[in-house]
Amino acid sequence: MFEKIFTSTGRKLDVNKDNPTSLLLAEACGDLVQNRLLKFATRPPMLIVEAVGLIAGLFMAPLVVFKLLIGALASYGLLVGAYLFWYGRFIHRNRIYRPLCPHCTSRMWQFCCKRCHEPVPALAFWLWGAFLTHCPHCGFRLSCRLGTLLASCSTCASDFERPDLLYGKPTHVVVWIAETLPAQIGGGWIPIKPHGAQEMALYHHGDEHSASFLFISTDDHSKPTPVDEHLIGQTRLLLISNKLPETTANRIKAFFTHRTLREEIAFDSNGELRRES
Amino acid sequence: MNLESIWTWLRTLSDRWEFVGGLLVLVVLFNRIVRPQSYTSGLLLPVLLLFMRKLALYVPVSGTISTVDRVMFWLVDAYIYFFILMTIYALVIWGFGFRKTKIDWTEEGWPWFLLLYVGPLIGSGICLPVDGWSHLYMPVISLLGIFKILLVNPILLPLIWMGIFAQALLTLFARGASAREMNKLLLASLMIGGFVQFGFQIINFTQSATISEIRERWQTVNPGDKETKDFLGVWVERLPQLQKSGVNIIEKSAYPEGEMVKIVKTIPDVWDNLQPGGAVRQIIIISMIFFVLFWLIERIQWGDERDLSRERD
Repeated sequence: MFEKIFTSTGRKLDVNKDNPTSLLLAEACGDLVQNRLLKFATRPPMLIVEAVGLIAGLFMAPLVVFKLLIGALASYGLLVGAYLFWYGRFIHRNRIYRPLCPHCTSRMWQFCCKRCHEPVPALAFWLWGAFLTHCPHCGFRLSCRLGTLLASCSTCASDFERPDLLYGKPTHVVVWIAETLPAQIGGGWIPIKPHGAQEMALYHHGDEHSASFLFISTDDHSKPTPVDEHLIGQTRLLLISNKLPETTANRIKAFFTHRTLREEIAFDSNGELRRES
Repeated sequence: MNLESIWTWLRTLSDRWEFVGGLLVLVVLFNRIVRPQSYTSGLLLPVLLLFMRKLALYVPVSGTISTVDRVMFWLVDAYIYFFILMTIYALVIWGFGFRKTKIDWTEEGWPWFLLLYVGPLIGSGICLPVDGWSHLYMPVISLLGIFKILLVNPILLPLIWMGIFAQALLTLFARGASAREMNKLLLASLMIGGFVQFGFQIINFTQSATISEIRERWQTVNPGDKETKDFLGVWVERLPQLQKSGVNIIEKSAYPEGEMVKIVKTIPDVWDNLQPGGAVRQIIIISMIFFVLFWLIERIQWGDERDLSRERD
């Protein structure tokens, strides 16, 4: 069973392992100009009208024009500042939670529109889209709750509903080195790609506290690392079958950091999982 | 202790050389000691601006009178000179910075030398109240003057202190990247303030006054301003000695006390209306109205969006 939790164009690019960087001032200003009022006010014909109005206003009531100008600039400046500060917090949390694409395991922090699948600035996510509620490309109304604002992977162009949930909780990686692959896995685990003879990749997004990847693999000497290299640092739990030889277990354990919890497990006669250490 | 007294206290502190210099040394030392430097470097800019605010008093901008918070043109010709110079520099920066134009200076340097040095040199001969050899360094000193015109304005000190507090918080929470962007915003806001101050001097260009009247006007609009009394008072009183001190360069005999000069009077009128009790409150209300407008117009479901919603359903 391959439950559809995301859509993908299936494009092939190198996995993105980098963390997001902070927004530049010009980018923040550019994002805010997508707001309907600002977009309207910055159109060339409107700029001419505004310039004429400003000059006329300066001669007729300079103080009123001055206050309007300062008020508009102050509100825009404050919005840019607050947006920059929020985005700094957003990427700080993203660096801690490290959400991964459920399709290609790339690092994820972007957004896209459900209708046109074009990238949407994070402004649409800030304050529930208070200052950007429409897609700048197709005009579609964006909302996390309605499922029209999606989390998007820049590597494989997969998108994922409810970005607030995906980006709002940590993503953990569990690696299970088994003797043989299990025939079926229940409990909300979804295969993220058709599994091979020696490995299986599953994703679980139902938990409100964290999302998890489970990579089940038999000991394959042909692979240099038990899982992809960028996932090693993010592995929280390493499960090793106690039937594997000790030297093999030690070799696998050596790949992981001291922060990875390592357990030796076995299945009892009822098929239940049992810890050995 | 209310907000106004805190502000007065901060203002008094900011006017003292020992405080400004000491704070700068302290922040530089802090920046050298704490690692990584990117966490603390954001604090440098507002403190450096605080220092430059005092230092800017000694940057001569010909044809202007200035305090720590204001630059006011008293000569129309000088205003036009700086307007043209700013336009030229803006075009050059735009050409180099945004278009990534590359120039071979040994081959194509002469037109640029003419544009950036000889042009302003001739301009200073025509427009600026400067005498003799002083014209030779006017193109260079005017470049510094442009920075002063853009940076020194009434929102400089409030922005500096807001910047210092914001950067202190960002340093505390180790947000180096946000601190850099916040500093860019600070500089951009200062530039906007400078442009507004500069732009508003276009009004009432035909107003005329004598040097004595300028002095009286300044002392009327800034009765409690220590800097104005000390600096501008001295400036007006010692017109003949100014060329020696280099604080403000003016031709000794060009504008004697009794002669009529064109003066821009709107700036004090506008800025002085922005007192905490009156216009500032109105500007805050106007800002709030803009916030609501930004939000409200975004929330309204427009015709094309309704069609798209139906398409989705």
